[in-house]
Amino acid sequence: MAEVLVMPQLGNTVESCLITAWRVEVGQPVDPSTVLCEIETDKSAMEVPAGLSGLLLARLAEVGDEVPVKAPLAVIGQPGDDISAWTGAEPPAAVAPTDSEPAAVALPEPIAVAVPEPVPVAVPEALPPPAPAVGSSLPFAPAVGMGQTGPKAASPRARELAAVYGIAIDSLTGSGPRGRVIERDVLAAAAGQGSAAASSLVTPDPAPEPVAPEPLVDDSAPAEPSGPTGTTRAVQTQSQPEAGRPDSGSGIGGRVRLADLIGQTARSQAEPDQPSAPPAPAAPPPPDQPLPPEPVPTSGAISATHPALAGPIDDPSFPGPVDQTVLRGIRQLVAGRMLASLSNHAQLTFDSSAPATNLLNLRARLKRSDPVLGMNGVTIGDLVAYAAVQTARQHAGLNATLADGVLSRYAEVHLGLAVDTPRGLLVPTVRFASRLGLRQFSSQTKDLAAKAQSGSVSPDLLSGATFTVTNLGAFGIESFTPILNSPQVAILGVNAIRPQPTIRPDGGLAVEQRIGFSLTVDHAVVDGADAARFLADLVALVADIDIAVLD
Amino acid sequence: MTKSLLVDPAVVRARGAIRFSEIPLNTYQLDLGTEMARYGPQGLVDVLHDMIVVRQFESMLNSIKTTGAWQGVPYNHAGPAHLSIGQEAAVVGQALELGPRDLVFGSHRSHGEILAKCFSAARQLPTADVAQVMQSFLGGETLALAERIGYQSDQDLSANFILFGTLAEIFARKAGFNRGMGGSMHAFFAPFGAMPNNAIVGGSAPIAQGAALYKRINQEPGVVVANIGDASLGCGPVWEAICFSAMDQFRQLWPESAGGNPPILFNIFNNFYGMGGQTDGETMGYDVLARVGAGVNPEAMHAERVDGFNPLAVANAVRRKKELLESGQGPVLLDVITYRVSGHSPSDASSYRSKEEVELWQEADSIRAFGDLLVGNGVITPSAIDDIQAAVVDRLARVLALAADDQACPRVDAPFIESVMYSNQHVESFAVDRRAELSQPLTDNARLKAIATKTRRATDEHGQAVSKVKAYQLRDGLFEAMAHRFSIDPTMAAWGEDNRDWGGAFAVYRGLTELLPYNRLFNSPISEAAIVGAGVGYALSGGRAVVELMYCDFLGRAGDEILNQAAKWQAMSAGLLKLPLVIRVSVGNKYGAQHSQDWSAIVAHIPGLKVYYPTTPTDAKGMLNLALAGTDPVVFLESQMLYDIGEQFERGGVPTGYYETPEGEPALRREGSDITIVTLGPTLYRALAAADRLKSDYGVSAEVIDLRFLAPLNLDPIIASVRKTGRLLLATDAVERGCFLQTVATTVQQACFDVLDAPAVVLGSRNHITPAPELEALFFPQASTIVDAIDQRILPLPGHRPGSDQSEEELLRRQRLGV
Repeated sequence: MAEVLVMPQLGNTVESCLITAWRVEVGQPVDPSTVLCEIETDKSAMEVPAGLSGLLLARLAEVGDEVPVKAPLAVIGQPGDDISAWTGAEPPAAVAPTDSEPAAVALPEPIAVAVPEPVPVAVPEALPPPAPAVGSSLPFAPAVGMGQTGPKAASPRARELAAVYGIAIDSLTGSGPRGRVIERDVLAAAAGQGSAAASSLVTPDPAPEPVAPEPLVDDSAPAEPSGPTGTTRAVQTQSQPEAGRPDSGSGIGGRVRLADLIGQTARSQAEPDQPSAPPAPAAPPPPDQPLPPEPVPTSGAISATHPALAGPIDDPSFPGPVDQTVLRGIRQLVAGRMLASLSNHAQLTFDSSAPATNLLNLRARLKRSDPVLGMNGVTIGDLVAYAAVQTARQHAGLNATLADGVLSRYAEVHLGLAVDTPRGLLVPTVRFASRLGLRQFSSQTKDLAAKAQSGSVSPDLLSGATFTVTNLGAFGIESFTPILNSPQVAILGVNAIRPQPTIRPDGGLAVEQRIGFSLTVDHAVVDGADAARFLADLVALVADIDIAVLD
Repeated sequence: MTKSLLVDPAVVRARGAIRFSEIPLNTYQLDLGTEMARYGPQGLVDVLHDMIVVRQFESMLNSIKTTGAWQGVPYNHAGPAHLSIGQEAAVVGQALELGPRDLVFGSHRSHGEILAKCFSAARQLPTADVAQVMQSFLGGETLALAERIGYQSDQDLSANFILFGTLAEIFARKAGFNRGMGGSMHAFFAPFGAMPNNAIVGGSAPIAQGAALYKRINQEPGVVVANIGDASLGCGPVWEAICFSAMDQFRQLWPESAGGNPPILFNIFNNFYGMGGQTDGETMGYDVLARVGAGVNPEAMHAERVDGFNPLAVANAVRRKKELLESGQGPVLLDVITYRVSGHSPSDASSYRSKEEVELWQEADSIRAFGDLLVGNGVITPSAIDDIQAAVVDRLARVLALAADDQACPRVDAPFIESVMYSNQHVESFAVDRRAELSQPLTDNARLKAIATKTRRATDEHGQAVSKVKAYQLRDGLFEAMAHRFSIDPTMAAWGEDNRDWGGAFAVYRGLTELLPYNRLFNSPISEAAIVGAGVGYALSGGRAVVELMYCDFLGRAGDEILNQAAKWQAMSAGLLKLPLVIRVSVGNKYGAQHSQDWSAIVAHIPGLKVYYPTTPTDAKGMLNLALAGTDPVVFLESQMLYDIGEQFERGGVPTGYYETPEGEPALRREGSDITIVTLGPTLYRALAAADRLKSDYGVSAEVIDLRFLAPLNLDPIIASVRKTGRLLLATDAVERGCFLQTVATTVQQACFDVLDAPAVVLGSRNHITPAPELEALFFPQASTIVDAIDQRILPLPGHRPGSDQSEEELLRRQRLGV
């Protein structure tokens, strides 16, 4: 009976191994010591022995596959053994199967390979102020965080005592470190109000026995323990005991937390007619008492967070159904390349537009032309891309790639065409686009786009472009910032054709059809003026496209 | 350090040369007739059987580890499995000649040693004894499961028990040999002499040496084997253990009746690799491992190289060496060559050795070779070997099916782990049937007589300070406690540097030399790892040990033995082992950066240790009495600033009788109402001076609490005090960064947040080296710095002129600079 060999777990932390080579072909005999395949873990490369005698009946994973440990790897048995149980079902549980990553193609020979000359340092208009060097020490600011700013610093003990006496902390001068109000300040204030309470901490005289402080005023409610911030606010509204001080805190041991106060404020806001929440008139603070430095937030956003407010916002099923997909295949690849592009190129986008009257007219004429000419299928997009190819051929600085600090400029234009496919964005290459006439160019782009759609495009053609066009005009996009197809240094975005007001030569207003372009370049190697010149030439070509195609 | 030995210049300066004795290599000659006569045909078949058991057991683990199943039983083993496939002959041959009372301590690669030793012991013990062991072990829990595996004979049942107990331990099951608390690398079964296996390379050497010391001092039969690897010869503690065991004093100075050197066999399973480093030709320079014996003593440790691929060669060597050990002529070094065909661990790609080399050793496979020998001589038939193989596989498959069953074999819970961190017992004597051996009656001891005449308070009845020579000092309290326990517990032994004759570097033991024979108090080599390691081995063998580190700064030298060994073995044995070990550690000053450090935070950080730090003569005696009656490892810190201090707190003076300080309870040294000052160690006395100044100059009443204990520690009295005063400062001589009082401060602050009038302030020594004694006031907290810190961070003191910057800015500045 055939036996399945699983990917061995070669180490406690190993979760999967990458197959780097198979040493045995299906159908070949193996013995226990035969090396079946070579694998790699994050730590090392090693060999997997067959461990069994027999014939290799099936390989359940291929070179490049990442196979979880203890997942089936191969089937070994005798001729005629039924192996459908392993081969018929799901393919091996390969981790994140790498889809057809295009093999490296030999790039066309560049005409000039040069390390870019020092780019003139064009200081952007709005340079942000220099950021502090990472890791540099910040100048010590003793006032910050040491209790001298923000809410009045007071020890929990002082606050507790102040609450008992009904003394506003803010009315006190702190004698503690950095002006912190400490217990003795409250005791002194209480003594000043006629309290019998005194302490050795107030006067260095022989200390009397500590006297349990008695509440001075009518605030006879038992003191709740409170956290520093919470009590600050509670004390500020001391004269409104019902409103400013929750009956009981939600913290451990009934400790009043900030959330309790915010929640209560929200409640007060939400129920303005509550008699127990009288507004300002009750017991105005003494004239010398500073205003509360931090008014209790009253915004609706905070109110909305209060659990007492029911509604969809409190629906416990938040956030509702979610479809989560691990990025795989093309999407994973695209994601990686987009981020890599953004982090490796200084991308800058220029917008412009061209009169589209001739473009529309030419397209209409081509569509109507004799099928014998083979030009019926030429689209606006073909015409614009064709113009872009002609422009790029004249601007080698933008028909270029930048990799590893080497700028390669190309004599020929190999045009990348961004194609929206069911599997995601693909960019097949029209090789030697600059050598093609319009008809050939149009037919090749159609052919490539179709293959990209169906997934049959040769991986060789998924790289090697020197310039890329991406066309979102059909969607009505007016302007966007295409991301460079790295290592290329320029990409042309084609926008919608829209009627735009224009001033006629006679000074009157008119409406003109115009097509928009968004050109992104790598500012590291393409100066703004170069990009502008490219766009100007492109606009001129598109404006007179009927003449340009005659080239 | 003894007057009886003369260092004679005429002798030591004489010309000459050393002649080394010969070290035999693989000299065993097989005479099957002799071996048949010795072991009988069944005995030889048993050897083959045990080798097959070990091989199959580890093959099973390998399959489970790498494929998640064996024999159709799926199991995901998350823990390690260090296999020794290829080394079976070496472990089975060794176990063949060891009796049930001989002990083996092993390594992280010791599944084979456990199985071989247990099978051998179970075969040698009377059936009733084996049954008794199995029934009583873990209340019969392991046995009840072993019975479910199916058996037809007593031998079947004991085999089930051994295999299941080991595998269940590897799988972290509650019914495992150590309730799953040890696992693959630490499993053991003491009733059959398979002692703790150690995941620290060479870790077993000093511990096994301590177990051998226990056997020698307590006249117990049997020998002790440290099964360690060839690469462990590069480890300092292994050398220390070897030197310790080879000391001349065992035969030259100890009473002849003591029996000579400890019966320790340093058995090196020499598989030529330490993980991947090749000891033979790469990472060591000994050429032949056995050679190193020549560097240790004139007998060259009776070293030999033995062919570990032949079980009978190994057995032969063990038998001969055991005789030497039992007659006190140890230690012995065996270089047992073997080979690990399996990888170090499943992640081993064998990138360090050639396939050809592995194949050469596979061709020499010991199981096949020994089977062929038996078949060739008509001892067994090939089909009978196949039957053994099949039966072993069958039994193991059933053992695995049970051990893999989560329902049948649950794991322990968190409260259980808590419950085995300490044993928390009170034991007056570990050998109640023996008299404690003393060299003189306790009442005749000169030191005790002198102590009896001293004033047991620091001040006389008129409040006048008593002179130091007349006052009962802290070191006297320590001495009284030691003498008391020595007179009661015959197993108690003490050793360390300069303990005998000198009486300890700080005269704590002055007078003990006269009281005790050598085998209860002796000088060790300057080998902190071996000193503490021997204490661990001695204690877990059943005796009470007191070891000494002359300075806390030397604790690093015994780091593994304190932090990984003493602290761990009670819990890793699931409470089956006790560790009555007191590690006395003297905390210095005046001697600069390497002799003046309080490392209490380091030991308090490690779960499993108890940590005491007395500051008064009364506590020194009461706390050492407590430690010496307990069953847990105690790091007992003593400050050199306080050895001569008198009793200032007990109104009646240091009590004369026996008493114990309540464990974990801080001591209230002075009552107050405005601020709580908590101290650890000698800072207490500077805090009291600060309290005086606070009272007289500023009218602030400070309550001073002396922590005394770090672990365990009851914080309730401190919390109660802070609730009263609302303010807390903690002061320690340990450097401020990471000191233990930071932990206390954080915890108390959480409990007392609502009543605090200021954040808790921790004042430690500065985060730099201890400078010269003339500059120590810059380093250790002083009364003045305590007052400054209170003034600047807790309670500004009207009129106070600070002499130091204790502000938050300064604190943060220092942190920024790392000082």
